[in-house]
Amino acid sequence: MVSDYLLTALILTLTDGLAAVGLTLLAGFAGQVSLGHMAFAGIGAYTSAILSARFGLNPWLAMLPATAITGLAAALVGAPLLRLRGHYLALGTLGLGLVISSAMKELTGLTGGPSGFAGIPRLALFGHPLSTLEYFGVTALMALGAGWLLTRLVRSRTGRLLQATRDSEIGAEMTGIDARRLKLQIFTLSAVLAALSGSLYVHFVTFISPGPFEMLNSLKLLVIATLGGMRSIPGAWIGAGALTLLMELVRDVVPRLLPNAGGEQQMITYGLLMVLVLVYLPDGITGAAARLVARFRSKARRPQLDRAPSSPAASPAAIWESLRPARLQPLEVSRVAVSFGGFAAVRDVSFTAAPGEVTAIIGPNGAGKTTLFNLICGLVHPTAGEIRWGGRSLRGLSPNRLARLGLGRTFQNIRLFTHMTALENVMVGVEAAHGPGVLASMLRFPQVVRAEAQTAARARELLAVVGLAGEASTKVSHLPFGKQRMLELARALAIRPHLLLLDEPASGLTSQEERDALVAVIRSIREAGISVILVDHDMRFVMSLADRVVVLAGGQRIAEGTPDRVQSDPNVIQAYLGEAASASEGGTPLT
Amino acid sequence: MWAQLPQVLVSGLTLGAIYGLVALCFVTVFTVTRIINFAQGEFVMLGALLTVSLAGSMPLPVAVAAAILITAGAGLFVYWLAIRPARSASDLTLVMITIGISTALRGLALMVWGTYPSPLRPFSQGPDFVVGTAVISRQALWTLGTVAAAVLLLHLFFRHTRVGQALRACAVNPLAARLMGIRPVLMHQIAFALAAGLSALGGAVVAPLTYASYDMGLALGLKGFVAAIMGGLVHPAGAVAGGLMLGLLEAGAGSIRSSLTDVVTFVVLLGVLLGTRVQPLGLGEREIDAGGV
Repeated sequence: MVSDYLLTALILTLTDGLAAVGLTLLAGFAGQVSLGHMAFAGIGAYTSAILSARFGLNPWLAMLPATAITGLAAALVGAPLLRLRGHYLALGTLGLGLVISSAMKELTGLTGGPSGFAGIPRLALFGHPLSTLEYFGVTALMALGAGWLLTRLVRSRTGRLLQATRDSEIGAEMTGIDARRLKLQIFTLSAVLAALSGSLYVHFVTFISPGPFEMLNSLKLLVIATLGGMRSIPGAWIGAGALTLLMELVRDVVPRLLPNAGGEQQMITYGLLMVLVLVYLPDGITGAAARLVARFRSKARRPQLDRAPSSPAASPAAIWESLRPARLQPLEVSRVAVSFGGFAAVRDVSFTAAPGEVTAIIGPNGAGKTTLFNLICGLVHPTAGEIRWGGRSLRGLSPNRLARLGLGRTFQNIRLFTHMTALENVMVGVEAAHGPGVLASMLRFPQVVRAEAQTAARARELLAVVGLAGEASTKVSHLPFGKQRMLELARALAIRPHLLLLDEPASGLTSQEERDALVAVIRSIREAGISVILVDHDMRFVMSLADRVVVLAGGQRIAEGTPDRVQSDPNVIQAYLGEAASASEGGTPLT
Repeated sequence: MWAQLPQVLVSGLTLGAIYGLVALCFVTVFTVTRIINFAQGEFVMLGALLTVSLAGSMPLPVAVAAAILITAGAGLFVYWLAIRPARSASDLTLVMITIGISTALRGLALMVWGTYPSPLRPFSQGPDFVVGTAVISRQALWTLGTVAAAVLLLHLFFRHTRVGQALRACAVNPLAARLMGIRPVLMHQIAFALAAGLSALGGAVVAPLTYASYDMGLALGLKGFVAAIMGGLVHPAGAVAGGLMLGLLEAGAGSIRSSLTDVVTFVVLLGVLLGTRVQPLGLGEREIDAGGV
């Protein structure tokens, strides 16, 4: 028979893994870290313990309010902190850990103070408390269930949106992903997992005190998550197992070397382990194992050739037609200005982009073209003036909100999701605004499976119309530059834009075929009724596409009109190509 | 309540001065290296405990100087052990690495010095000063004076020495600084050592007031960081002002109920983060392209 000691160690390893997997999700997939995560396990454990020991609630039922209250606490802390870019969540959770830890000690009436209280009922089934072996069974089932659901989650729409946000937050926002809301959901989920782990723990040991929920154990969770590998859900339990073994070893060896050693051996081991793993094994045990397997595989057999691309059922014309916007709305920029620290980047600029037309913005370097784009798509807020779209003011709308309203954008220096395939990039565009949520993805209802198939099919269609049908499963980082530009265009089309902002789409395209293909796609976009605003340096390219041209110089509009009129405007020739015009002595500078 | 006010002011400013000094260390490291060193508080702890130990066998000023030098060395060691090898890691990884360092240092201190807080005799002996209803200990004056002198010297160092100017150049524009022949790695080392040494000085002056213990660094580090954030994270003067404000707020709350002090830090932290739009460079995604080329 298995000894109780081993079973207890296994149960604790499993509950540790359950709390750590929340951190894996948070750090490895949402790019945030919680430094006081045991505080959430503490809130869950104390709620569950107090409700069952003092109010006689069934421990199974007590877990529900325990996880709910913890989730609420996490949402309240996370909502303000995740508004800010960067790692303020780390700091906030560190502070929360200190506050919760002193609350556990100070609120003596409720928590029993520093010494805690006993008499917490064990989980029971059919009227009798579980034995250690049965408890192990229950914990293992819960861990397996959680691992299975979370694995589904990270492979679903939510997982793709998270990866997209990690690869490029601005790219994700402009594709319609509300990054803050997504991170908040994951943070709340990670706290709920910790609470579940805390509840399982106290109903096993039937005694509670602040000790297990202190800062040091929050660090232990981080060590487990990093050791196992931040990009792997099962890694959390692998890390927990490895740490348990390692600590057994430390407990065995250290007293022989240092007879007086006490709690410090944990601190030093956790601290050093954390540093060493992050520096020398940043993807943890599972990452290292995956690399090893990959090496043997690639030696064993050469990668097979990609199977022939399956062409989508719909014809290109039908696909373009499916992109036709329901409404035609003009974009009106009126007297907009913005300055950065005293430097006026854009001054008093007005123009209207008529629906269904291609409006080009041209001007020398530093004229304020990209700043104007950033103003329109909500990345920069104007200091004066207003931008209206179909009569509606865009003031204060976030980029992701604008994207969901139908404003698409590409970037001068491409902002694709580099760790994802071409197909996945476009899928994110298709499903960013609407799609199955966290819960539905974990449970994988039939309609989730269907939605996924439809999204992929739609993404393939869009890849086909920009000429990337054969690259669906190619990673972005392996695509040549010209194809990356086309992919970004496909992603922008995937959000079903009414208006598309293209920031220097031709820059970096060296061959004539690439340029011709781009011109053809932009023409199709216009024919589908999508309005386009375009910035580029290549005059022939701009003049061949534009219905109207706006000329900026020094942050101001100096001319506006049809390409022919603008080209012959003396102001433009002087301001925009002054030197070239005088140098070429009456040549044709603008063609 | 009002009768306590002068006393609250005195103890608030004393504590606040230490927070300000630690905040200054955060600012120094952050501006030069773009790293938030969550282990900063542990250098305060090392400075305090080393001073206590050394003061037993040598004159106090020598002990303080030695503690500063040893801690500065520890700062360099940490840089080479953990920061330099991870220079290409993400911000997230660096945050976690410095948390790991912090824990390892705390464990090391627990092993060497044990659990019990150790006292240090005040820098000068004599009765406390009484001004109105407030009692001002001599050590409080030492603390205020030391921090003021350190801030002034640091200011002069950054303004008027070649090394200080090189550090500032590196903070403003690392690429341009490198093109001018300034070695960033050297600057990073100086920043780490300088911040560690300054933190140790803070630990030495605060030890007679609060005792020195292995676990004093966590709270001091967090509060120093909150103070730095209050000052905008890149402004030395703002950091010191933030420290003083945080100290006063804490002393005020502590006079109502002593267990409130940690809660105050947390609430101030949330309040500051919500109230201001601090989005320092390097913490998030790169800045939005300014346009043009």
